[in-house]
Amino acid sequence: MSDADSIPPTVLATFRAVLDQPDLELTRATTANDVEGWDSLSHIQILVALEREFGVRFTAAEIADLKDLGSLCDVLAAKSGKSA
Amino acid sequence: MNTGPLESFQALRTAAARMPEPAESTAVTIGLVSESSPPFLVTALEAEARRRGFHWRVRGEATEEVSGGLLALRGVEDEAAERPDYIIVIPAVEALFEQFLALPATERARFGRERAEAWRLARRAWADTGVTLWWATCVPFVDGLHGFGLGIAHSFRRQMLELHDSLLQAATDETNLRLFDLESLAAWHGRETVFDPRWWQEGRLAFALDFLPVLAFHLVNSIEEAAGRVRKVVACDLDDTLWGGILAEDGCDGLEIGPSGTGASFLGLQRWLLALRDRGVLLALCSKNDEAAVLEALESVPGNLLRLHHFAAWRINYAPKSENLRAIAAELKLGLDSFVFLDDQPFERAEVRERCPEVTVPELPMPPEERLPHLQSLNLFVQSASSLADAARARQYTEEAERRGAQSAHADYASYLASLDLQATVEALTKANLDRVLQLSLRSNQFNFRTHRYTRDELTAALEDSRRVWTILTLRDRFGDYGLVAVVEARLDDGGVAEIRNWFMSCRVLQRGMEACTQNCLVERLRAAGARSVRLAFLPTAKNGLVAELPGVLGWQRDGADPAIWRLTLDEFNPLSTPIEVIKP
Repeated sequence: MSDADSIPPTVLATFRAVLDQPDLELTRATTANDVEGWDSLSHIQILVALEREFGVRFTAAEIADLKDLGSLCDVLAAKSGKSA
Repeated sequence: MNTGPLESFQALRTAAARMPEPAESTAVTIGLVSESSPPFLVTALEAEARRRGFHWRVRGEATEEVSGGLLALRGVEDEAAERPDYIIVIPAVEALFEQFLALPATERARFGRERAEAWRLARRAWADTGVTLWWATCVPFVDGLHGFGLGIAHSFRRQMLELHDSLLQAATDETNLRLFDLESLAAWHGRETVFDPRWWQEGRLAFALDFLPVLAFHLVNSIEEAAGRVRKVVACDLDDTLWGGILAEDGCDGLEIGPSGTGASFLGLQRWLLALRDRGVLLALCSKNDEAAVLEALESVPGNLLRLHHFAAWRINYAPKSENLRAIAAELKLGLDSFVFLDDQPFERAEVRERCPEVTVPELPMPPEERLPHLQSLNLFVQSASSLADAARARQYTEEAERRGAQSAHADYASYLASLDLQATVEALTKANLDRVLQLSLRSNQFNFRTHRYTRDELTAALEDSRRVWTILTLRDRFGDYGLVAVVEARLDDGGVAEIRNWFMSCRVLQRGMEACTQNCLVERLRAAGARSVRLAFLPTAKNGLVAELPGVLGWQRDGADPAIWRLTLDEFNPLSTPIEVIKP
């Protein structure tokens, strides 16, 4: 897996916990369609869990603009000032 | 048991998943009628119950308006095998505000009374069933239209006060109604904690996700308490719990208890315990001390309020506290599950949690002034008007009510629907509605015959395809606009046969006759397109069992041996009766 394709461990851990899939693997290109159980309900749970983890808050517009996991990581990194 | 709500929705799910599967025999069935989207609430309630060792099966009914939801539940309920043991009704103040604004300004001063009356009529359909309704009061809300608006008759604030006032009166008059004070709970935690505008906008979820563990904690407390799981005894440690300091080290004159300084925190806790005793909770003393010294100190420490005669039992020795609690329980002839244990020492709390897991052991935070507010916020000593005798008597009415109640509920529900002034519009796929069709196709799970998820490209291409016949409905009523809620796509062949390719509807509009209205519109549009018959192949999923038999109800015939294949001859179809008026655009 190349650097550009890697997902931060905290993000991966959050997805695994919320979706209850300890072996889940993700890349920046992953979308909700690729992951079983990533539906509109678990989507909200994932966002809330990530907000707690990173101490940030998404706006509704940011949530609407999310395209794939890469864009989610980018928003997290930009908002938290950490490399997410 | 460690007591208190968990800090996040995810933590609650994780904690519940670690608990063993509860015995089926202990299952309680709950109907949840909520103007807040139910799935998260259902998960939180079932998880919280499981965490506490109760087995709750919660069936959530989404509704735009709780009286309609309550009547709808009663309407379907006589067909279902299982009647709920309880119903929880949770209005959402955001939904009420929408209903309020939907009224002409001149009618808003009647909003509270009219809502209260609609709620009362809906409850009447359940009056003879023996089912207890737990009705939540509403989260505080500031609309900013009149300042706070207390002095203004047509302000939302005043109307909400009148609505709550009517609920209080109803709870006195109606034996099967209990109030759940969500208003107080929300005020205690604050709006930032309780509400998240993003989820209300996104999915009509009226609560922040991480408030749901708090809400579920208190609902489980209230309902399980009413079912007889009552906490009857508070067993207290003495040093640094009932007073500040250590008797053996500080002496009677060195202890902190009294009206000022740190002593006031301990005195406040003692006053609260005494008030619990006034309403029938027993106090017990469980202290590692010299018994003779304690018995003397209770009477002689200046400023001390709780005296020996206030305690129903005591064990003052150096044995493990778990053993002493068992001895006190045996002496009082009460189960340990009715005990609350207060102790400032984490070691003692852990020992009791480990060896007497039935005992409720709240955290006792430092500093001392934080303790009483924390204990108060846990609401461990729920007392509602109900009693076991009430519950038993209510059950005797059930059988008789099963005969009478269901029919009257149907009649009431039909007139309720008629009163809503439901209006639908029907249209084809357009550039303007394409986004919403796409969104609904991705989200609809239950009312979805074929669960075909569209893509934007597919829909854009379909705009040009004249063989596709679209029946797309929007719905509104006198409370407001539901928007685009139902979509049917049929494909027409050269021989006049249409095939249903996709058919889905938002579950928000179930129980309003929208299924029949969609069917009527579909037939009309297929006829206009030159079709003579139409075929529907139902594709079952884990979630769409709701609609498996619906075609039969709507007038379709089974086509051959496969129970999933349905056919309708358009010439033979007579429009179904619905409460919905179809407006031609």
